[in-house]
Amino acid sequence: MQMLAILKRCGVFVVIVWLAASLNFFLPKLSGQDPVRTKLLQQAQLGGYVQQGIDEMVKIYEVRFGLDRPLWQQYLSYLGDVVRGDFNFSIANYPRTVWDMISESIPWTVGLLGMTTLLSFVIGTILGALLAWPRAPRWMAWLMPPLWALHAIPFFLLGLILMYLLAFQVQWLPIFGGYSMGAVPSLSIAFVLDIIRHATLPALSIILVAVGGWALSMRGMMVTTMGEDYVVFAEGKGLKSLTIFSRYCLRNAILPQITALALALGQILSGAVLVEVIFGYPGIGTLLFQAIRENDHFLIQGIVFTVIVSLGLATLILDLVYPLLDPRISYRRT
Amino acid sequence: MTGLLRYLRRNLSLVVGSSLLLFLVAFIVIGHFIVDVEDARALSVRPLQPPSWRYPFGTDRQGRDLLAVMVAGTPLTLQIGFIAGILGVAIGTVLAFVAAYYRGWADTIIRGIADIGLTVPGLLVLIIIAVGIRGGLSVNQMALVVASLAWLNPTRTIRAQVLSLRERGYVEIARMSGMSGPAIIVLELMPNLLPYLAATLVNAVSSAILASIGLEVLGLGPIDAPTLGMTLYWVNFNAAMINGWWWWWLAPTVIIVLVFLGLFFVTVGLDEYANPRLRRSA
Amino acid sequence: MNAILKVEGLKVEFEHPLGAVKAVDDVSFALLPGERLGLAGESGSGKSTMALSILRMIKPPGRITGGRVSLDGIELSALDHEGIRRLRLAGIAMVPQGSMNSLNPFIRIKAQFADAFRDHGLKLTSAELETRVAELLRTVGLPPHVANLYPHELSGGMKQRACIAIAICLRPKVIIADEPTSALDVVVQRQVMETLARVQRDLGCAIILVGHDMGLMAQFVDRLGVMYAGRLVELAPIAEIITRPRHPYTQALISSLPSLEKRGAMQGIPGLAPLLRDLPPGCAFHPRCPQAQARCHTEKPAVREVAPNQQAACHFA
Repeated sequence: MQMLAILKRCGVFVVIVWLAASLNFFLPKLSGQDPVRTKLLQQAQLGGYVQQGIDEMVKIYEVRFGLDRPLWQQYLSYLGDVVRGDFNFSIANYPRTVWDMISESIPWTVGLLGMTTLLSFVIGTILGALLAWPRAPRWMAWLMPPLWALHAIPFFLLGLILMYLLAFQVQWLPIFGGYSMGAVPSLSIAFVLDIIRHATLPALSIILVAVGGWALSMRGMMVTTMGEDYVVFAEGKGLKSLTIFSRYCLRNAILPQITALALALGQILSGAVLVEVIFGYPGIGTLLFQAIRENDHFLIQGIVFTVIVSLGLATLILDLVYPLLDPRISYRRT
Repeated sequence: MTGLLRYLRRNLSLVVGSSLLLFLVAFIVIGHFIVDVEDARALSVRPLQPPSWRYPFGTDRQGRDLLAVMVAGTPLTLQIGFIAGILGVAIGTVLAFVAAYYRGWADTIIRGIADIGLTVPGLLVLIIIAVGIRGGLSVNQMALVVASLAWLNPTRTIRAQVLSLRERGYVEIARMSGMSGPAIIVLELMPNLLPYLAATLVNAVSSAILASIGLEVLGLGPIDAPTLGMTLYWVNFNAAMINGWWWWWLAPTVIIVLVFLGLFFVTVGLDEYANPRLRRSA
Repeated sequence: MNAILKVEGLKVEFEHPLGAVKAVDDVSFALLPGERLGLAGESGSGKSTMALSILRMIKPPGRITGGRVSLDGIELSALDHEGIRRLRLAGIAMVPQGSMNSLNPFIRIKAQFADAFRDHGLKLTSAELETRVAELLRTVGLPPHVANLYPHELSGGMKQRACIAIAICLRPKVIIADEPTSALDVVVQRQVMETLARVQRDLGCAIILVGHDMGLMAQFVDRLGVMYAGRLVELAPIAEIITRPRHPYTQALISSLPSLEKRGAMQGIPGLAPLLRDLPPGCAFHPRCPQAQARCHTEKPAVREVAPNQQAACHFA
């Protein structure tokens, strides 16, 4: 039974990978003419120093997707390439490969997104729990309206406002990029500090918005949990407020929060892409923006595929960890 | 009427939200009288003027009057949001009813697709779609692109709601008295779902606007239309922030914030109306 | 004999937009050591609220607006928050309703005992905890391995017995059991009641059993109080109540009981239970009362001694 559930969940992940790949394959063909081919030919006509490479790519492209071959054969060989992680060359940056460029920007996005998601989830959850707790200090009630308001604003808009206030007006923080121009990437303390300074504004614009969302949903869960019979009985047992709060309310309300986190990852990532673009942060989002500007289809497809698959993996992990926290659904026992 | 007023006194979120939206509508309507919408095109006025009596919102680098851009563009952005939102909720409602009422394999498939679709970052899928059909999207095409994913969330939430309604006594009675499935859906379930559908719709509109602005900021929007998102694209394109042209991004930012706040508070208010049990906790 | 628990003039009100609702209205009684007292009444009669208010566990919008409760000479209303907390479970323990999920679904049974011991100042080693819990579980007829299970792994009856074991873990002087067998099937109901009776006898504590099942009450309690619309309308030894009920409401309750002699003659009580926020003036029962006179429409009857050891709130009892 448990094995079956795990297999089913992994099956869903395989379906996600397959869908992402198929999306990449079929959507460009929908518009009739193949935009990739068009773009390649365009690039080839422009000439210049990449001329030879592009010519080669057109050949590779034609052979690989062999327009003479039936569609299902093209599709299968494309799936094969994708599984092997071969996303072809970047059209605009030949001879660099798509995978090469993606792997360069992945650490930036993972760092920014991982840190902000973790921080906002933890802070928001604690805040939401406190907001629901009747013995919390009174002034906390005043936090609600600003949290609500912030929560309704897109990440990147808050980013614009913060950028103007903190980077342009008072110039406390750098306005652009992932590290100072001319800084030599190394593992020195100075460089790490430089990275942190550059990440602060993008991170802040994500955290301030996301904290509100997590706080609101946690507060709702807490209110529901505090009405549960076992909390009433816990009080009847004469337990300390703190015990009831932490062991009977908080712990139980966090579980749906984690489920919500798994569902929200995609949205958070969509928002973070725009934050990166606004701040010129050297992650996946900015790379994608460049790719769109340069009409670099292979790069766009590679990025979209990579991101969908890694998010699918993240939700898979969350879903598989969840039963370890909730004794009612257990993989271990019968 | 007095009953409505008394209810609104208790539902402050609904009041705040609808006031914000009404304010925006008033801005658009009055704006059309006091400004020439043609000035929302490039090369209409002197470029890069900070706000003044003549140009209250200033002008941008390509010579657009930003007040005219806001007056002309806000309805376009709302239009995208509403078309996509309505389409999304309509499709979502039908799918949700089919899934929740008939259960079985239809439910398995619909729920499976919605669940998988929701874990995927929507913006990226929309990017692939927009890139795939590139070549200058119109505002309405833009709405259709956004609508292609806008049904996922409504399907999921409405399905859950229908499932809980389905268990209520009156549905059971209707079924036993020989009412057909579609009749039960239209006569018994729909009326009870309406406030909930309204909340879902407003929510869907808000998500659709967010998605459309996202696509536009990335440069995948209707390049000639003065929508709010396209304005922000030009802001970013021309590095207005670093150049100190603060008025350029201020106007669209304020309006977008108002749109989202308005829609958000209306959703909260409608939720409260649809689900009075929450009232105590809110 | 001195009362172990004394309740005098207890009042609980709930705020409501249309005015305060008196859920418990001037209730007084005394509980003797080792006594089994029943509190019966329809749902909405205030009996559960009464039980919670003794432990001072009324949540807003509810509020205790008057009266005194004393346990073994200690005035409860004089205690601060911490004092009343320590008194719960150690002095007065509650057994929750059987229909509820009263055990935290996310922690093991053993831990739910451990929380109680720890918060009442008992520092136990894990071996001591192990033996204590096993002993308590044995008392209620559960095998020791139950300690390591989660609530969802137990049946309804087992859960309820686990709750009883928790309730007696600090040897309280009074147990308040609020419909402990609701939603359990009849056989399990019987087992749970037998368990409750046994632990009460072994512990020598007094018990207040809240419920609406008169048959169950007749088997279990020594004395029965009948509540109607927030008031204790009759209080008497169970034998008196069954044979010579004084209040017309009690009379109606008793005659609605199915019995061997009166088979087929089961009659409900005519009329609907009153809304607490819209009580009729005078005696709250008069619209349903077959014996009501003009006086009942205007004058609220006081609780008075109608026979030795038997009190009722009716002008004509």
